[in-house]
Amino acid sequence: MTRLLLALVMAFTAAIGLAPTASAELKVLVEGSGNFQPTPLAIPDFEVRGGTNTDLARQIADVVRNDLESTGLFEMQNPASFIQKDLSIDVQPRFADWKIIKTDGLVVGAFEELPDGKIAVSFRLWDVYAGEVMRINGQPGRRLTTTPDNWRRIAHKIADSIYTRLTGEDPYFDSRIVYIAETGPKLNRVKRLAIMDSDGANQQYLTPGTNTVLTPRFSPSAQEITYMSYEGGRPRVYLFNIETGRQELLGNFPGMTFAPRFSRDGESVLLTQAEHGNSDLYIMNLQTRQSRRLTDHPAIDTSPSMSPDGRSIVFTSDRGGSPQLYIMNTDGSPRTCPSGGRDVACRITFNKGQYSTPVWSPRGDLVAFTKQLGGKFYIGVIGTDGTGERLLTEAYLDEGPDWSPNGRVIVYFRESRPGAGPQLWSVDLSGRNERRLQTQTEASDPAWSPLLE
Amino acid sequence: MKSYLKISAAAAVLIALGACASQPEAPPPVEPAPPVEQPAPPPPPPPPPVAEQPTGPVPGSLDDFRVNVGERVYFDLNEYRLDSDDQEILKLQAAWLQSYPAVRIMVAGNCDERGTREYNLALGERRASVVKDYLVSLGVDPSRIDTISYGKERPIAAGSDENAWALNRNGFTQIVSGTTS
Amino acid sequence: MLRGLTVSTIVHASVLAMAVLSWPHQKSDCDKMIERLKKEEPGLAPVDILMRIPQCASAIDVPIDFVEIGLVTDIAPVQKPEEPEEKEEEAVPEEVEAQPEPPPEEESAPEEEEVVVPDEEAEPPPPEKKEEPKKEEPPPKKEEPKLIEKQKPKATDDLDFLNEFEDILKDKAQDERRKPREEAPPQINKPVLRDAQETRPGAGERRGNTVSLQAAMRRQIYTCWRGVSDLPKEDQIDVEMRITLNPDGTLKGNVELVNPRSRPIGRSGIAVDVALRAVRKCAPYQLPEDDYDLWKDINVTISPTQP
Repeated sequence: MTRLLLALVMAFTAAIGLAPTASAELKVLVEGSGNFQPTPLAIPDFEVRGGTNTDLARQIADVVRNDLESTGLFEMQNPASFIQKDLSIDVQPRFADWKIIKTDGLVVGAFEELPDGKIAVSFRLWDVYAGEVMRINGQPGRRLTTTPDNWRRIAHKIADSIYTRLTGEDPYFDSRIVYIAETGPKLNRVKRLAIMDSDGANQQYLTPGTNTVLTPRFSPSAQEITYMSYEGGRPRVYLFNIETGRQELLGNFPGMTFAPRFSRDGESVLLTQAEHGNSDLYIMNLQTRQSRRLTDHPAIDTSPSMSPDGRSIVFTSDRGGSPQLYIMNTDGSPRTCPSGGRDVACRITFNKGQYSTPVWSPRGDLVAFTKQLGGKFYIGVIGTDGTGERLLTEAYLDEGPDWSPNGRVIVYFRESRPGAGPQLWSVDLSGRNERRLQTQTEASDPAWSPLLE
Repeated sequence: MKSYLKISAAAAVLIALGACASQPEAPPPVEPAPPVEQPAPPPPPPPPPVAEQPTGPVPGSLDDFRVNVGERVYFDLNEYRLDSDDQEILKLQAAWLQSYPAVRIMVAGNCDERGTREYNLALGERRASVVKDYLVSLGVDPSRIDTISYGKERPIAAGSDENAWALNRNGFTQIVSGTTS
Repeated sequence: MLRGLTVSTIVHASVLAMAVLSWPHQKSDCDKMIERLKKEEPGLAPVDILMRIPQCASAIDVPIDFVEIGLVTDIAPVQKPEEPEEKEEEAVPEEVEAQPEPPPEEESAPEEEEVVVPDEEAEPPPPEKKEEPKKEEPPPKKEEPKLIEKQKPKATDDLDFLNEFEDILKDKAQDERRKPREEAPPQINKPVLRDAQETRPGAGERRGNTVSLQAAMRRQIYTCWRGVSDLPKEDQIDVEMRITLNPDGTLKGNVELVNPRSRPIGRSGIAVDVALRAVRKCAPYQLPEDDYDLWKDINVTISPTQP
């Protein structure tokens, strides 16, 4: 008891005595959400350890740098400013050297040619200011192997790992984009299905251009595309397997079918059928090939896109007099509309202008759209309850948004001025990083693949 | 304004067609068409009511239809209603079709480039369907009429201005088979 | 506070000790340290050893996440031969013709994860590649700086009652922290630089110094902070850190995470990364040396939740 008391007294006096010291800890509060700046990254060329293919080693590093820079979130440090030249993946870098050039992150990689003819790239991501390795998937580094002709995928996977570790976003570089390649004069356009890597490399044509093809969309789960083709003089929706090149008519609809889009689980295709001039929505199960009518309204209903949870569908309808966005339950039951009341389809766009081509984001919280107002076209996003509309782009014609697999980037096509041919563009969800995707021909109707396996 | 537009439209179309010599539907000019599936009217049909020019195209030919009847009706922005001018043209088309009952047609609905692709496909289908319905209401057998929508995929005027857009918003009656030439 | 100070001293001492011990990055030293660690904590995975003595990376057989990338995603060539010529900036690669179909079995199955992990025991198998896109991070403990853990055994502390003092002091400090804000005019999204020269009426000399020191720190840190506007709102968390500075404004020891105590799993972890980096990157801090005792120990809160 006495001891406890003594301890108490001692502690108390100590506390009092130290009070000035204690309050001497300076409290600093930094408020606000910060002013965005790109994160400086240094990615020196990879060390060549096995083999002699320094060109390939450098090309891989180039693709990694290009991927990361294309996000607008990172700023690649100029190699000329690098002080430490003797980097090795096995040795901790001299952080002081990298602090001088104010780089936040440092990627150290090694390239090898393996006896079996494959190549391997190992890398580590260092936090320069913390002076420690940043773990990726719980590991202090990664090593990726593949055949030499597949080298770009190694690069994309490295870039994806770094991007994911530094931003917390899901990866998206190791993916592809399908689009419509356009050639020929405006009055006699040739339109072919084409595909390329997400960074524009490896462009290839999938159809010969004898029939006009439009609006390709990727399956979220397979190497399969659905699109509309005028094959046989009739506009209808087809499935196309990009590994086999096989094309298959989807369903046996009497009328024109168009505006297809896979459900998020890849098991169904939503589409529009027009019969006797009236367009309505349908869903077709790819297993059973049973189709079900979703809307039955004298107005135009088209461009359906399903929510990630499969429960709702956003679409374009002019039932209110002009094209606007509506949301319905997939099962057709009435829902409570954000604007009040209950209806089978709730309008979510009420601002000025016409809205079309809605695409539900993979994250589920946003819908991307094309908006037309006052002679201009815009790509924008809006909350699924109709709030928080944000326009991300503006041009003479901006149309047809689609989401990157991680829901962070939107790809679309643009005609920058009257008479200019269409080109592919992408924009970050923040609206910051608008950039053109290079294609060999004029191009439209881009759609993003899921992440490659 | 609108009729002026239509005249210029017709002229533009003629020019455009002349320019597009390789168009599949470009008519073989002289060759008499073999009477394929045309058992019904052995005596040549009476001349269509409008074709009065003495030196015009052969009655019942594609040119006859184009020049003397008119193959396109034009729509207002985002519209699919037929105004009285459009109805006049469609009445001529219906009469002509009555005169040549073996002719089958495809009505294509077209839109200008100032709309999004999918909505325009739907709108084009609606335009084509309106034309078809009107012709049917005038007595043309619906089984002779197909429809198709090209949305904004088949412009006839290459420009990017109001005039070009007005031309590109049309319902196009295309003769598929059964003409005399 | 007293306890905090003691612990902090111990921590700093041990950091210094480790730094001194490990300074010469020679293999022999590393080997010794590794051996000792292995002896002290048998079953320790090489990865964990690396985490404790990263400067010895080369001496350790470093495990890496092995990923084999396959050719699953071949593309069939265009079937019809009438391919129009294209401008050949980037010619269609021939390899696609060379190997049109993916080799059926061999590629599809095993390629996904030929992830090889050397040490079976301690290190859990790395997550499969398929799970990669998930936001999950490895078990949080791994990420947590080891030194901080030493502060944890709080529950068994027999000087527990001191925590109350600590809390009272903290509350008081917090009040102090908030007061000037309440009096300040509403501010928008921008760093608070305005009160740099302000001295509060009635406050003493030291008090005024404190306010201007706070402003100076705020200003400096803000410029190093890249922000969290990219993160979803719910992940834009406040991060409270404690730092100790040398008289020249450089960091003495590591930045200590106060709240959250360790890097959270998920995307709010990015908010912590960004905050830590800002505070580290900004050093050395420009502060008046005369007032060193006022800014030797600093508690920094980066607070995106406060507009």
